[in-house]
Amino acid sequence: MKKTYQYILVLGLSAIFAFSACVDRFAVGDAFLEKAPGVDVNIDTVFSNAEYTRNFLWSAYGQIYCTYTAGNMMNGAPIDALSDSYHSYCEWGGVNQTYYTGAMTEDSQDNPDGNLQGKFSYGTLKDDFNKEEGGGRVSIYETVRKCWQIIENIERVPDMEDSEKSRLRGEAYTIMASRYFDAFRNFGGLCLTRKAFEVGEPFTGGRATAMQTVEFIDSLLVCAIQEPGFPWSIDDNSLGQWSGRLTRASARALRAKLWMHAASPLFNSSEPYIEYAPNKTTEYTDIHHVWFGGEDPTLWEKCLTYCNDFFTDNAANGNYYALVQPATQDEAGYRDAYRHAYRYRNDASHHEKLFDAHPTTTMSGGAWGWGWAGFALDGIRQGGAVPTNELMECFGMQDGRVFPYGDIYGAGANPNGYDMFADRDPRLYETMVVPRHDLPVNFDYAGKNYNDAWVGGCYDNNNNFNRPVDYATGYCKFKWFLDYYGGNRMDDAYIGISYIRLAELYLIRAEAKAETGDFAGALDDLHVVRSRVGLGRLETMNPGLQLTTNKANLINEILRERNCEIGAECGDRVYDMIRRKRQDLFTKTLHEIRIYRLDNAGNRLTEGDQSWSNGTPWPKFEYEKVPISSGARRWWEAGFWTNKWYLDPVSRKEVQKGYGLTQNPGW
Amino acid sequence: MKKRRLLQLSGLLVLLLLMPGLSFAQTLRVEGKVLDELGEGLVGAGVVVQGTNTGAITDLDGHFVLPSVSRGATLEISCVGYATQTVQVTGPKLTIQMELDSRALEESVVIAYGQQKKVTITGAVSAVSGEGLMKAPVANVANALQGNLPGVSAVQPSGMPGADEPVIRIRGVGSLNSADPLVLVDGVERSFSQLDANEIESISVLKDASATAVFGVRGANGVILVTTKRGTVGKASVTATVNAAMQTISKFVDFADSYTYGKMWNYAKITDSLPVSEWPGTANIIDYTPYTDQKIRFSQSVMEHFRTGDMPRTFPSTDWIKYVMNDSAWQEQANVNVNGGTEKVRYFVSAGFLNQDSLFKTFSSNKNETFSFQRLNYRANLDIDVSRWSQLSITLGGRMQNRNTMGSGEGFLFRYLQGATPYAGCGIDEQGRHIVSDPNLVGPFDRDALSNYYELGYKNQSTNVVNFDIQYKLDLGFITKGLDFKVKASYNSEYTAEKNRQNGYGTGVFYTATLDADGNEILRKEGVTWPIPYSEMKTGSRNWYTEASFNYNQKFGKHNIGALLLYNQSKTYYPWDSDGNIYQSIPKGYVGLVGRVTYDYDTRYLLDFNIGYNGSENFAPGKRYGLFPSISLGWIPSSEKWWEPVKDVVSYLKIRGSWGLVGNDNTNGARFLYQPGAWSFYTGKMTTHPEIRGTNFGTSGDWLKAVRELTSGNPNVTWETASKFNVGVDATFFKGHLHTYVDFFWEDRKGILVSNEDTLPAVTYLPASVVNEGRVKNRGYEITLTWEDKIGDFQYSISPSFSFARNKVLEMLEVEPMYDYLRKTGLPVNQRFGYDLFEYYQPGTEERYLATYGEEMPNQKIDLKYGDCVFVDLNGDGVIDPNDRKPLGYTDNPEITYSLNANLHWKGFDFSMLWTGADHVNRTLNGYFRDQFGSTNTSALTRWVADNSWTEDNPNAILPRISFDNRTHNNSDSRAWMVDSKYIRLKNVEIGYTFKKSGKVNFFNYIRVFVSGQNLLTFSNFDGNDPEAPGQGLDYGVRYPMTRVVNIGAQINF
Repeated sequence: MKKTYQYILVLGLSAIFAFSACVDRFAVGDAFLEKAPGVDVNIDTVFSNAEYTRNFLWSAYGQIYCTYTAGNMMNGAPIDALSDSYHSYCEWGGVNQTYYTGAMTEDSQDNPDGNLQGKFSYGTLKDDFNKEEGGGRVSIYETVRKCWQIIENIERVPDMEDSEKSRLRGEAYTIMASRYFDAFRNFGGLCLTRKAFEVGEPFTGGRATAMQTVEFIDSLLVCAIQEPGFPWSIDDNSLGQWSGRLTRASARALRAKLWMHAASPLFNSSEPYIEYAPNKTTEYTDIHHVWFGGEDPTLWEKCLTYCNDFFTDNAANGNYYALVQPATQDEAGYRDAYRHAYRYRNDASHHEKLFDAHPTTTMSGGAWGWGWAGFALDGIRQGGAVPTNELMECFGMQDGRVFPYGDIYGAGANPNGYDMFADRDPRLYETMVVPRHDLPVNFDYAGKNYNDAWVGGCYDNNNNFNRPVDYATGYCKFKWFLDYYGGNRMDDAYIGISYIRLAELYLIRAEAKAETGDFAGALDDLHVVRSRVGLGRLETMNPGLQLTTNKANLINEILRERNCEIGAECGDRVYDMIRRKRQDLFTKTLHEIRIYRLDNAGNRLTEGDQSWSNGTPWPKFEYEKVPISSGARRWWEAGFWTNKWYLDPVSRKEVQKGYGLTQNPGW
Repeated sequence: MKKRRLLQLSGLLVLLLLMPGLSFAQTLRVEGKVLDELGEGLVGAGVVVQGTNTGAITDLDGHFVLPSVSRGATLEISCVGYATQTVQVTGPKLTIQMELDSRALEESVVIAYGQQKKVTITGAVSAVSGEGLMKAPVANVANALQGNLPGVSAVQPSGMPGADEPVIRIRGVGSLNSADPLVLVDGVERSFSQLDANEIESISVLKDASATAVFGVRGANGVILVTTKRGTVGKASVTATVNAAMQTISKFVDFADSYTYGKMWNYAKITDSLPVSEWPGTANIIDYTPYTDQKIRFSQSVMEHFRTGDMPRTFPSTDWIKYVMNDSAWQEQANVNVNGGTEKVRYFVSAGFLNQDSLFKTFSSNKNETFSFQRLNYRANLDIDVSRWSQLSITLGGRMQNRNTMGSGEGFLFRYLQGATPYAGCGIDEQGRHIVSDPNLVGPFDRDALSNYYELGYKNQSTNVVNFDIQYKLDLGFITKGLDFKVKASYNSEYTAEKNRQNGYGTGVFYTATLDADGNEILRKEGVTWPIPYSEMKTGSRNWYTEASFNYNQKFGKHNIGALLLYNQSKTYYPWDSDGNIYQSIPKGYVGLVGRVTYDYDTRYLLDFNIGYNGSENFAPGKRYGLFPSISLGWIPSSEKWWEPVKDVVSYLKIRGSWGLVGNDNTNGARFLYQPGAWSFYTGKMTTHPEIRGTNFGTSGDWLKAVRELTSGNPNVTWETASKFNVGVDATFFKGHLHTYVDFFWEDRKGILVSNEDTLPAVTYLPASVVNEGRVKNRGYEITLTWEDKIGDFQYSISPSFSFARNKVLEMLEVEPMYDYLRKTGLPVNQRFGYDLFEYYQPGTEERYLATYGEEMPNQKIDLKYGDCVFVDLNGDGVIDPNDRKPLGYTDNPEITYSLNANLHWKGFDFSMLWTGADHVNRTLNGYFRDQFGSTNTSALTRWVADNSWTEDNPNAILPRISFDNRTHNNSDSRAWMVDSKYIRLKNVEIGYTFKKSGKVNFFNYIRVFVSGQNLLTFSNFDGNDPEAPGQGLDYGVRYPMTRVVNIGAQINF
């Protein structure tokens, strides 16, 4: 009896413990652990639903390269300041701390300090403070993995039409190709991943040669182009919702741009741009990682073919893509057309964008301080990319002549007091702020229909109007910013940052034609772009350049035209200087401008308020060209430059992982 | 000493009292006295009538009373350290003379899931009694461990009230992972650091595999078992203790005054700007005029004001540490506990209170704006004999605590104390105005010390912790003798309410001290006062634990057999989760099965076999369970007959050895390591982070939803295993005067859970996963000697102890380095690397370098000037780059720790002291010390750096020249910035006097008054800061200073 009582007590107490101790189901042994559930969302979840699958593609879209928000590389500084067209006066940022000082080393990629990094991230480097996010340093391979995952898994999405699956695959191939192209421009030959890797699966592919890399990217684009569901264009009716989604036109355009880069002398030359130093040679070193091994003129023919493929396909689709044309043949019309072309997304009446990134919606992105303008362009607002006098000289005259005032600088060099900013290529005025007598209607600057941006003018006198670093060269950037203090232009329409737009396709074809001997065709293509802003024919207006016969001059003019048309859009000026091995441009000291108002006696007015009073005669000027000293680039020092600077060093840590990556020569 | 025995005996006594069997016969009242070997009353001896539950414990004078004993019954008298005696009851008065056994042989020690007589222990276990812990007048009992337990280090990084948890390591570090030990209080995983020391019966530390294998997947870093006090039979014994302590700063950073600051700043700037040939020399730096004020920060006139102090309000030189910190702060502790019970019900009830004041001056009218900590601990431990066969135990413990932090909390406050330059202000004047200097006048500065907290509010956290255990034990003697069954359930909950009343930096009113146009001093009022905002946050956590076990102990002649079979499971709700809370809503569970068999023959040959079988949710079902066996053997040759001849010299000798496997399933709190990768949805937004940017389309569309991959699981991941081997010798020499305990251990940790993040090729962009890749060996030894003797009335013991542990990484996921000396594998865990400093550049360096290395001095890649670091070119490429770094010094975790315990008794007086020391330990100086003027060149300069940096006057300095241009170079990791932080410290001292009750005054049993001290003396090579303070200084690394405590207290027992 007593024993029974004991057993009951034991059982009773056990039950009480069980209840008192746990609110949820009581289990013992493995069942107790088993119920720890899995993760809420995994790869199977994502591909179980069409919308989730699209969501995944959108995250890949978010990583399309855009120079202004290329993550936190160089601490957000814009890469244009590495070219001859812009200079950074901002003391922080990788431009000044890494490139101008020549401080970049093969360890820069691995440096957690954004100021000491290179312009493009090889790997995703997570910082110590924010393990969750990559500190903005996103490797192309993150996007590549996303794209492969889409391509490999999309077949199993149950509620998606085959045509849409094909379309998403086309987009994924195109995005992936663009990311490989981004890295190719910075590093040369790459490690090529042909699938999404599984846990524990090693990468052993090693580094591909530069040509293998080009062909691989090309094959991705071919895959995209061949996707039957990948449309040529977005239906006009759905542009309001979908403008900016990639199309077969994006893939065709990128293919042309890829081969333009490949055919350029950096890789396609009888000589490598630089040899490996003897002490850097390792078992992996292969100069073909950064050189094709010789010069192959047929590469330009390929480039030309792919340009023509684009235009053929476009013609077959009713010439859907077309340059935005001016409504009126005057400065206002030209500027308006140009601004629309570079700045805004395709809509029912504008179809110039072929491939654009959307890091924001409008200029302010709904949040000024941390919006796109406030943050991504912060480097520019802090003097991170100020136009140089060299950029100003790039722009020719409205009539089509190249910049004619070669010897206008210095005391007494402008006895007639010419206004060298008058009657210029209208794109100059869209690119940078220069003194102007009459601004077209609706093109006012901060409410004024003139610009007295000279010494003692409004900039000097009104710090609230603009900040001194913004016009540290004497010029101020206008492209993208417009007059961001004046009115609501920040939020006027959705912005698309061009990766490629149609104007560039004409310029690529012009270059390919010039390289393959069709000078007349090249000049025709150039004129398509130039005539949009009303410029006269280049070869006619500049007979001295002998453009119909002088290939070197013609190529130069094409590069100049590229800088005028697509400068400060996707970093192309820097990459043009690189692919054309323009050591001369990299090592040339750049200049600021001092614009002096002259009094009636022809003396410079240097003291006090020299603002212009509206209605009075426009003054006469003298110009002084001053070598840039703030943040002077070590490249300008005699003997400092070596061609290693054409390509960035890859991550030393990655090289050491032993999967076949090699360091670029010179680093 | 005697009381300690009483305490440790109580547990044993409970067992004895439960021995079944009763007999009744003619009875009488027996009074007796038990004497120790010296003829004095022996306190705490257990007197039990053999074959019954009846018994008593001797009081302080050794007296005991048994109200009803049958004549002729046999009394068994036992006491730890003494041979158990049996006496026949022949009359009402008895005097029993006890004889010393080898010390502590019968002493019980708490081990995993039970207790074991020390004599039969074959593993490596150390223990300290609650009384031993109470000698340290510390608020956090975990800080009393250091020096009391060989092989255990407890380094305290912060002295902040209520947040002074030490970092505890058992036998150093044996893993690339966390080396935190498992801590159990009364057999349940919970924190012990905020327990009242008066509640603690003992703390055992289980160091080797035989002791920890039963904890299976969680025991690899050693286990700390804390046992709270329980009631003993007898009339209520009330003990009240009060302590009042004064805390002072033991050692803290000292900052340079304005004049020194200005001198060093100008010197750095001038030496940077001028070629070496034009340097004016340190002495002339003040009068050096070629430089305009734009180039040097502090003009001659400013320096003159600093030097003379003629305008202390406008050109101040404030010692901020002194200004904002009190010389001392009070700490009070009080405890009352009652211990007693009948044979049926025994209880221990305790209530304790702690109050710790802040060392900071608040200057504020709001008393909450300070650091403070109050804690109320309570405990009621109850044991009830429900029936002859069964016992119910209830353990209820808890605490309510209230903690205030001021300003933006410890981390920021101390971080920005460094920002407080001496010329930044002069504090608060007699009218209560907060005066700040004018940076245009005195030079730019980061801030003054007050602007971090003055009138910026506070944060209050009140926490309520309840721990509740209930245990039912059933003696299954009716099935077979010696078998019992036990079931236990435990529930813990913690609830914290946080009131946040903090304003941000720079929101208060201040007065700028400046000069008007005529040079007169004026104050300019600036800033606005904002009302202090209010917000609150509540956090809670709870967990439960259950176990059920069968226990068997039986003696067959000389064969002693014991066995244990135990099942347990536990669940923690809202566990901390390193994966960004993706799993926090999922409770964390463990299950375990424990088996143990012990056998000894005549207490001569000992065998223990333990097995733990554990499952962890972190691993896939097939990889989930681990079997963790251990075996240990012991032999006591001194019990052999043939030992007799040497017994006078070596009275006791035990040789023991153990081997076993223990596991670890944890890496930084990551969970479900086997699960497929987690993905996460997000909505695109404008950000510079392309990984979470997403996109938008169209000409008016919104940001779209996106999804991305976050983690990647490893289905093959499983627990890491530590194979541990331990050999020990315990010996007693010279008739119990000298005791030695020696342990050697070897540990091989394999399959350590490490992230493969650093080795994954970037090109696969696989999110990192946890893999079983690392391997670490750890070995070392511990030696403890105790000498005790008595000279007349003078009794003393002295006990030095020495521990050594050294680890070596055999495998870690390391990328093949370019040079062998860059390899981390083969070196200790967390080995530091840095440049090899040749010397500070000065005339003749090139020649000396050539003479030393036979090579030209390498290009240092800077504009090298005198006093700059010259590093050695290790790879011979002629330039200094990160490939020229090599392993430097020891790690933060000392390889050697040692201590010396001394106890003296003379009549009523007692004295004890504890010295501790550490060696083979380095600190790397950062934060306060490097960069010298802070990263913005506007922070304070430590006096130690000012005194020890290279100048022309101080060419043999420890530190390089302070430079702005060459800062990155000079401040690179090298031996310049590494200090030897070995130390010897007088950790505790206590002097007490005990009044025993006498004939006239007898309302109490005893009263003890005592004075004690903590951290009274420290000897260290490094005089820039406390040697135990963390070297890293950034952010939260900068901590509240360590305190020195002087305490007076009294204890009464009645």
